[in-house]
Amino acid sequence: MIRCPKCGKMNQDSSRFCNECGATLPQTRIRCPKCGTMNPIGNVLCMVCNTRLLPLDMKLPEKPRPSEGMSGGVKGISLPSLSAKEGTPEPTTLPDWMLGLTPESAGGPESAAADLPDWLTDMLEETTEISGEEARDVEEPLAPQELPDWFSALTEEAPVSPETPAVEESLPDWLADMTENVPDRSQTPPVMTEPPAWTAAAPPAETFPSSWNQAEAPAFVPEANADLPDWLRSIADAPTLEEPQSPAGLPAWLLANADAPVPVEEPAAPELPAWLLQGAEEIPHLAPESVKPTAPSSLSFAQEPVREAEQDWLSGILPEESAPVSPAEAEPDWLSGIPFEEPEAAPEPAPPTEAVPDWLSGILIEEPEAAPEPTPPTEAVPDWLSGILIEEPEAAPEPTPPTEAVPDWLSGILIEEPEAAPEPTPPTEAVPDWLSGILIEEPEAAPEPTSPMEAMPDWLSGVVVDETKSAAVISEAPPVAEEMPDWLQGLTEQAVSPLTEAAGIPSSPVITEAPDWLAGLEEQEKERPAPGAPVPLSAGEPSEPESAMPGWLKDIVPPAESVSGIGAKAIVVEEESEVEAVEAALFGEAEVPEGPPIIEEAMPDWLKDLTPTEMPQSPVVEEIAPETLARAEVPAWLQGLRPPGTGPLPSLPEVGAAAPEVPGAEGQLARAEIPEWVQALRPAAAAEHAAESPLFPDLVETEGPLAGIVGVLPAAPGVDMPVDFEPVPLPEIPEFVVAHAQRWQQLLEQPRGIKRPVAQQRARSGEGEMATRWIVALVLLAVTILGLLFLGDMHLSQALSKPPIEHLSTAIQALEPGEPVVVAVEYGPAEAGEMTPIAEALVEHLQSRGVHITLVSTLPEGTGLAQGLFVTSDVSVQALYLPGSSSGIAVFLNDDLKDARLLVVLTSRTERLRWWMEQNNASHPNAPIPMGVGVSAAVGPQALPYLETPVVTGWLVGLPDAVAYREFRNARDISLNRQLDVLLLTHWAALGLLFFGLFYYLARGKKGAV
Amino acid sequence: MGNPEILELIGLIVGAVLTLIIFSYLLGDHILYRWVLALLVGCGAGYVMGMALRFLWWDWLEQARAAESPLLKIYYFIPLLLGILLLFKGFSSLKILGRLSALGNIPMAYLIGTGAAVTIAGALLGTLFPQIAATGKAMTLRDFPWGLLRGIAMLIGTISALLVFSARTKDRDGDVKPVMLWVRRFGEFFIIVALAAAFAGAITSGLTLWVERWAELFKTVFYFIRG
Repeated sequence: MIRCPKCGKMNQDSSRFCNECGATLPQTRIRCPKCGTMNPIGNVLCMVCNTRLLPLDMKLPEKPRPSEGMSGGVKGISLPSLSAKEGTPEPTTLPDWMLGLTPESAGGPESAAADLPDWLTDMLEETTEISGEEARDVEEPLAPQELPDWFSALTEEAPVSPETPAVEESLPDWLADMTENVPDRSQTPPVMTEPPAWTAAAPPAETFPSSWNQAEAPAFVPEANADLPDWLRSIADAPTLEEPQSPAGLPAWLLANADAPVPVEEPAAPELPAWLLQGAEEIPHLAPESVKPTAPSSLSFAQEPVREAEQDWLSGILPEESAPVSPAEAEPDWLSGIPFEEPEAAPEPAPPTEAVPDWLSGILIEEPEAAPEPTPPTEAVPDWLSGILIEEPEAAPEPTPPTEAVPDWLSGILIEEPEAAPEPTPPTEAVPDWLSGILIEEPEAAPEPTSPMEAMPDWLSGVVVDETKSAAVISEAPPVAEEMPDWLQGLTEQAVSPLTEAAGIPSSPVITEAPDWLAGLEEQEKERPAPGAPVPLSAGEPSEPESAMPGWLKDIVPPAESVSGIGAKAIVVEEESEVEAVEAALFGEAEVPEGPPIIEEAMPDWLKDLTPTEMPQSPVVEEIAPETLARAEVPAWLQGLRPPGTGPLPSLPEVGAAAPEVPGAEGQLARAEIPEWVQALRPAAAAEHAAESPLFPDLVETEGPLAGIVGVLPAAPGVDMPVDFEPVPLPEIPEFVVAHAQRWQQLLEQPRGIKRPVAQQRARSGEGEMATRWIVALVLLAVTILGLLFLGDMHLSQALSKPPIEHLSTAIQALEPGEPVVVAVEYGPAEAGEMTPIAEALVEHLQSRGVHITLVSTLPEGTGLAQGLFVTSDVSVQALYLPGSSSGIAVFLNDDLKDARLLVVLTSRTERLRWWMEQNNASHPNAPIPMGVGVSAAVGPQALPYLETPVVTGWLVGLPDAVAYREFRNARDISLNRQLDVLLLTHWAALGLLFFGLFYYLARGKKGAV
Repeated sequence: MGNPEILELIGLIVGAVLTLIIFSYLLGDHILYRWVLALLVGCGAGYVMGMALRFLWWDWLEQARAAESPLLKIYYFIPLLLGILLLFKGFSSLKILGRLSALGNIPMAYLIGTGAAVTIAGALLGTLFPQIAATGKAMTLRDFPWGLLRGIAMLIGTISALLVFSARTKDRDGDVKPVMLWVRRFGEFFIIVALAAAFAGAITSGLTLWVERWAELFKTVFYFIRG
C-alpha cells in the first residue's frame, strides 16, 4: 500500500495516482526489464536475476518518505535544529567546514547545487527536507499517542508490546533488512523499562532533569550491570563517579562549546566560537570561497525555550570555570541539545518526553529497527547515539569482543553495516545532519578494532582519525584497545571528514574548544607545523590540558604515540594536500612522548580501564593503499549511482603488464573487475600452458578471446557429429544425369544476346503433298457419292448379329410396360451423326415396350439431343441435366434411380461411360442396375473392358451394330443400310490409300516424301 | 411449302454448306474452315451457357420457389448460395472484388472434396476391381485352346503394358535392363495395338460421320429435286 503524501489515503501498490485526490504517488516498485520482477524502489539490481534496474547515469530515485501519520514520528536522526520560524543562525556563527556541509550555503540550494555534482545535490536536497521535518518535529513535541511503542517503552514503566509497531511498516526496505539483521534483538525480551545502563552511573537526580529523576525514571535493574562492559560497570560502581554531575566532569572542549552562542538568541558573529573564528582567520586558504557561511539546516538547532532548560542542565555539569557563562551563550548549538531538559524549564513537558529530552526523542525515533524489539544492548544504548552510529564495521558481522565491550547504550551504534544495507539509502536519513557529512560511511575494514582508538568512544575517535584511515589503523592496532567504545572511534574518525570536506577549519573545534588532551596535542602542533598547512590552526590558542579536559576524558585521550601514529598515518595516506594540512594541524607529525598522559590523575577509574596498556606501533604508512581506502568509502551501490563525470573511474591496469606503481589495493580492484576465470582464458597466458589437443593438434584459435590457444575444439565437427556417425559417401551420379545437368546449366548460362533456336515454321506443302491431299479427298468423295447415288438396293455389307446386340435386345424386350428405364444421352452435336442411329434404335425399342423413359445427361447439349430423339414420336420427354459430372451421377443413382430396371448409356466419350459404370457399381455394389450401352466406333475399343463386365447386359458399337440391332429386331432402315454400304466402300478406299502411301514410301524412300 | 418445311429446308442447306466447308480441310487450312470451326465452338458454348442458365435460373429457381416446406427451400437455396460464392472466383484479378474471391474457395473446396471422394470410390469399385476381375476371368478353359490363349494374351498384354510405364525397369544409368527391355517392348506392342484399334475406331467414326453427312446432303438435294 502506498500512502498518498497529499491526503494520506492508502492506495494499492503500483498505483501511480491517488485514488482520493489524484496526487502523484511515489513509485514503490521497479519492474525488472529482464525478468519482469517488481523490485523495491531502492533496488539497484534485480533481486531475482541481478539485472541492473537503474542506468548508470541515473540518479538514485528518492525513497518515499514515511509520512508523519504513518510513521508516528519516524524522523531522521539529528540533533535539534532550528525551526523555520526561528530562522537559521547567522552564517558567521557556523564554522566554514559546517557551512560546507549545508545545501543552503552560498545563498541557497540553487547556488550550492550549481557547485556540486548532481548526486551530491540530490543528497543535500534530501537532507534539507529531512531536516525541515526534524525541525518541525522538535517544535511540536510528540504526543504520547504519536510516539512509537518502542519509544514509549523508554518513558513508561509498562512493558513494551512486542508487536512490531506500525512504524516498521513504513520503513524502507533497507531499514527493515537492517532491523532483521540485528542479532538477537527479536529474541530478547523487551526490557526497555530499564534505564540505560549508563544512566545508572550518570548524574544524580539533583543535577538531572526531573525526567531523569529516580522517581520518574524507570527503575534500574541491577542485573543490567551484568551486560555492561567493564569500563561501564566501573562507572556504575564507582562511588566517586560524578562526571555528569560535576561541572568539572564535563570536558573542557564541551564546556567551551557550550559557550557557543545560540544563533537565535544571540546570532551575532561574535558568538562564533573562538576556535572557529581562529580557524577561519588563520587558515583562510582552507576555507573555500564557494562555501558561504550559511547555517545548514542539519546544523541548526532548535532554540525553543526548552533549550534553555537544557542548557541549565548543562550548566550544572559545566566546569566551574565555565559555569558562570550563560549556557545559551557559551554552548554551541549542536551541544545545546546534549543536556537534558529540565521539567521546570520546559514549558510543556510532555509525559513521554520527560524521561527523554526532546532532542533525544528526535534521534530515538529515527532508529526504528531497534525500537520494536528492544534488546539489552539497545537498552543500554543512549537513544541519542543509538541512531547515530547505526553503521557497523563491515568486517565485524559477529559481536566481536570490542563490540561486546562496548556499552549497551553504544551497541546501537554498530548496527548498520555498509554491505548489509541493501538499499542505497543515503545515510543522512538516519544520521543527524551535522553528522551526515561525517558518518556517510563507516570504514569497511575494521575486522578487529584492536587499536587504542577502539577504546575511545566513537564520537571521539572520529574526531581524531580520519575515516579513510581509521580502518587500516584499527585493523593494525593491537587488541588492547578493544575496550575503547566504538562511539568514540566513530567520532574520532568522523571528525576529520567534515574538516577535510570543508577544507577549512577542521581542527578548530578540537583545538580551540578542545579538551586538554587535545590542547596538549595542539601545543605539539605548534612546534611542528603540518605540511600543507602553513598556519597552525590553534597556534594562538594555548590551552590548559588538565584544566580544560575532564578527567574522564583525559583517560580517553589516546596516548601521544597513538595519536601521533594515527595522525601520521592519516597524513601520509591522505592524498589531498588539504587533508594533510588539516590533519597535520590537528595532530602534528611529531610523536607524542610516550608515557602516561599528564592528566592521568584526573582520569576516573572507568576511564582508566580504557587506557591502553601498550602503545601500538605506528603501522607502516606505505602499506595502506589510499585508493583502496578511498574506494572503500563509497559503497558499491553508491558507486553504481555515481553519475558520469563526478569522479574518475579506476583505470584498469594493463593485463600482463608489470605491477602497477599504485598501491596494490588499486591494482587488486582493477584486476578484480575481470574474473580470474576470464583471465585464465586469455590467450597469452593460456597458450603457454595449453596442451595440444590429441584430436585437433593443429587447430589454433585465431579469433576471439581464445585466440592463440592451441587445440581448441572446433565447434561444428566436434559438437554436431554424433559418436556413431559414419560418413556415407555421396552416391555416384550417372553420366547421363551429369550430361543432362550440364546441358541445362549451359542453357541457363547462355547469354540472352545469343539467338536461341526456335521451332522452324513448317515447310509449306509442296505440290506432291497437295496432290496427295487432293487424291485422298477425291477418292473418298467419289466413293461416297458413287455409293450413295448408285448403289441403290445393292447391299454390299451385312450386319452381323453379335451376342452383345442380342443380349441387349433381349433385355429391352424383357421389360414390362411402365417400368422405369433411364436413358443417358452423353454425346454432343459433333457425334450426333454417328450416335443418333444407335440412340434411335434403342429408344424405338424401348418405346415399343411401353416403359417409362427418363432422359438424363451430364452434358448441357445432351438434353437437347435427347429431346430430338422423341421429336417424331408422340411422346414428349423432358430431359434432365445432371450437373457435377460423376457426383451428379452418384446423386441421381442414389436418389432417383433406385428402382430403375434398365440403364441405357449412349455416349461417344469414354469417361462418360466410365462415370456411369463406376457410380452404378458404387451406388449399388450388391445389385447394380443392368446397363445397356451404345457407344461410337471410336469409343468401342477403349470401352470394351467395361462392356465385358457383368453389369452390362449388351452394347452397340457404331453404325454397324445399330444396323445389326435393327435387323435383329426386324426393324430394318434402308437409309442406314446404304450408309453402311457407303461406309464399307470408304473403308476400302481408305485402305487403298494407306497401301498406296505405303508403296509410295517404299518406292521413293524418305526423300520421296515432301 | 409451309414454314416448318422452309425452316427445315434452310436448315438442310446451311448444314450442307457448313459440312462442305469442314470437309474442305482435306485440301488445306483456309479461312472458311476456321470460320465454320469457330462457329461450331461458339454455338456449342452458347448452347451450353443457355442450357445452364435455363436449368439453374429457371428450372432450379422455379423449383425452389414452388417448394412448400422450408427444408426443401433450403435444399434448393444452398446450391444456389454455393454457386453464387463460386462466381467470386472470377474476380480474383480485380483489386476490390479480388479479396472477395476467397469466398469462392468454399464451394471450390466442396466440389473438389466431394468430386475426389466420388471419383476414388468409383474408380475402385467401378474400374479397378472390375478390370482385374475381367482380366482374371479371361483365363478360362472354356474355349480351349483359343480362350486360354486369349486370356494369356490379355494377361501378358496388361502386365507388359503396365511395365512400360514403370521406372523400375531402368538401372541407375538410365539404361533399361535387357530382360525388362523385351518386356517393355512386348508391352509397347500391346499399347500400339490398342492405340491402333482406337485409331481405327476413330477413323471408322470419322468415316461414319463423313458418310452420314453426305447422305444427309444428298437427302436435301434429292428433296429439292424430287420435291
